[in-house]
Amino acid sequence: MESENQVTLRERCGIPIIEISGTVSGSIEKDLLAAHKSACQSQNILIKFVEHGRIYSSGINALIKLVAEAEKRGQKIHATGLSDHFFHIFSLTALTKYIHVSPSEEEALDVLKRGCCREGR
Amino acid sequence: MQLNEYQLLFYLHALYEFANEVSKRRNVEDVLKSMLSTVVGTFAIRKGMVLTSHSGDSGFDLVTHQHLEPSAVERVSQQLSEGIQDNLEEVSGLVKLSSPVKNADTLSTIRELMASAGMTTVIVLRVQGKLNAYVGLGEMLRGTPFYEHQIELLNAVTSHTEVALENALFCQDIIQENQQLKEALHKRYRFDNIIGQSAKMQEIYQRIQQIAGYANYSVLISGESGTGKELIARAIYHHSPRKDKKFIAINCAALPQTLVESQLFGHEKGIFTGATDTRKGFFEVAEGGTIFLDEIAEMPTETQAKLLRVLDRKEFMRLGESNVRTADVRVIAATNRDLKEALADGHLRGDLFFRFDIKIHTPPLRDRKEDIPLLVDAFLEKIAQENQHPVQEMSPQGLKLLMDYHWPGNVRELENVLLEANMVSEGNAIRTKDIHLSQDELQTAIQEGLSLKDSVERFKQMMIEKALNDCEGNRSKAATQLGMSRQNLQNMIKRMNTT
Repeated sequence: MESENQVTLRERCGIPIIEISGTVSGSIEKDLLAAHKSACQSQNILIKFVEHGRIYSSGINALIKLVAEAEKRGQKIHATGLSDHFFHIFSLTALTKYIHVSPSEEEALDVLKRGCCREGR
Repeated sequence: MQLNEYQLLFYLHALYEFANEVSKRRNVEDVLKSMLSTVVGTFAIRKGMVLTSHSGDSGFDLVTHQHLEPSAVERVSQQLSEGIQDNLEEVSGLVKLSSPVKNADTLSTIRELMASAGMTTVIVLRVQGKLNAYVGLGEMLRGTPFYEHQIELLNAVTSHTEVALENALFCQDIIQENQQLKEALHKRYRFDNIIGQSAKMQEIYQRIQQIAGYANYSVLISGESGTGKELIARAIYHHSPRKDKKFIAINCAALPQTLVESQLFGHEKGIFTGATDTRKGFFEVAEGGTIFLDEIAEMPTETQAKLLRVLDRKEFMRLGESNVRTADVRVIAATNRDLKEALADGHLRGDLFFRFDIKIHTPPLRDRKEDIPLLVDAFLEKIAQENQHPVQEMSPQGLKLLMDYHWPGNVRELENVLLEANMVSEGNAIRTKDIHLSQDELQTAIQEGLSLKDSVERFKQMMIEKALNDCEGNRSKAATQLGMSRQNLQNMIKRMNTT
């Protein structure tokens, strides 16, 4: 199984962005959950997929765990940067029901900011 | 639902990865962990858990779970600890927990237990007569029941898991059997710290077992230096009813002759110069236990007479005391002298020799060379453990060299040679260059390439020198020892100019 991947955490416009680079497999779980823990104060989290590799069932397993953790805290997960391949797997597994997918980082941030403003009013 | 090529590939890949992963697993728990992880990930299931019940065991174990809340884990474990009997025999495959089932107490109980942890489906895996596993699955993120192609994929994973479980159980059986065989071999070829598979050593093990239980029987062990006489004494002690009492080992040759008696039997204050206090001897200190008298033939014959009294009547007196004391002590003695010679030359009293209930002779290593490989392995393992480094292997050439050597110093010499070889060797194996064997005259003659005639001459010379040393220069005695006339010996000495 390919294992070249990297999980990093950054912030833009007050939104934590977890960037997953490369293959989405079970090996991202530890870093993914650690990144989520660091961002757990935020109401919204954006996951950005870059330099896509494959997506494996063990990677889906890690994302389910993230969704469950976010649900516990009442957080919303957004995602962007999905390739066609990733998008079809997200549809198959119904992750799209729990993760709001945007075509780009800018659009995802727009959606989040608007949501924040609305919620703020 | 129609799958597109990405989705189809995802499922195929999941199946391939699972098959690849599970084929490497050698135990039941790892197989089931791998299966649950694959199923939960592939179908995006919220949570899952696996229970197993082994035939012959009562109750279930929670083997693994995925995304299960700690409170649910605790609840399930609590319920399992209350004891559920598995009597499920016919059901297998996918069972929706909401559908009615014909059986049985077990499935009803499992259904209840799994439902309480949020499971909606259970897959029953069976390895006939050995193991039942219940894989509980929660809802898919999709929230719908499994589609037909998903059920097909699940069935494939299930069948594969059953085969992997069967293999894992088979593997566990083999590992267990292998362990039992190793233990049996270990028991057969080792007795406490004594090592040897040869018939001679097997006889000794048997003898130790036979006599150890007779706590009052005295034992005389004879054999060359380094053959493990003290190990045998200790083995007898460890297997005897006296094992919880003391074991005192005394080297009679190391005790000053003037002090032997006071050391063994004790003394009263002032009985000799330096006896500033009354003192207990070893026989009193070892009360109820075992005393090991090594090199007994070096003990003065007067003291041997007093020892005979201990063996005969269990009685002794402290030096300078008129009270007779009793000794409840088992005596094990040893000598590296040839018993016949020791009796003939008076080093060992005949009455004492015959008073020992049991006699054991430890064979020299040259007479049980088949034990050398086993001894080499055991010593190298011991050396590695003591020095906390990986076990060095013995090269085939190195082993041949050890097998060809005549081991005058017996097992002790072998251990010392291996200690040195282990220290100087480079890499993982000990080679011939690392092995330094002591070269006696005869070996040197062989290595120097002397002719047969010259070698025989040197051998004769060695024998004569040894006999003269043994007999303190008395040529008549030396001639008797060598089995020749005095005149003949005189002539040979003259010829060899060894005087």
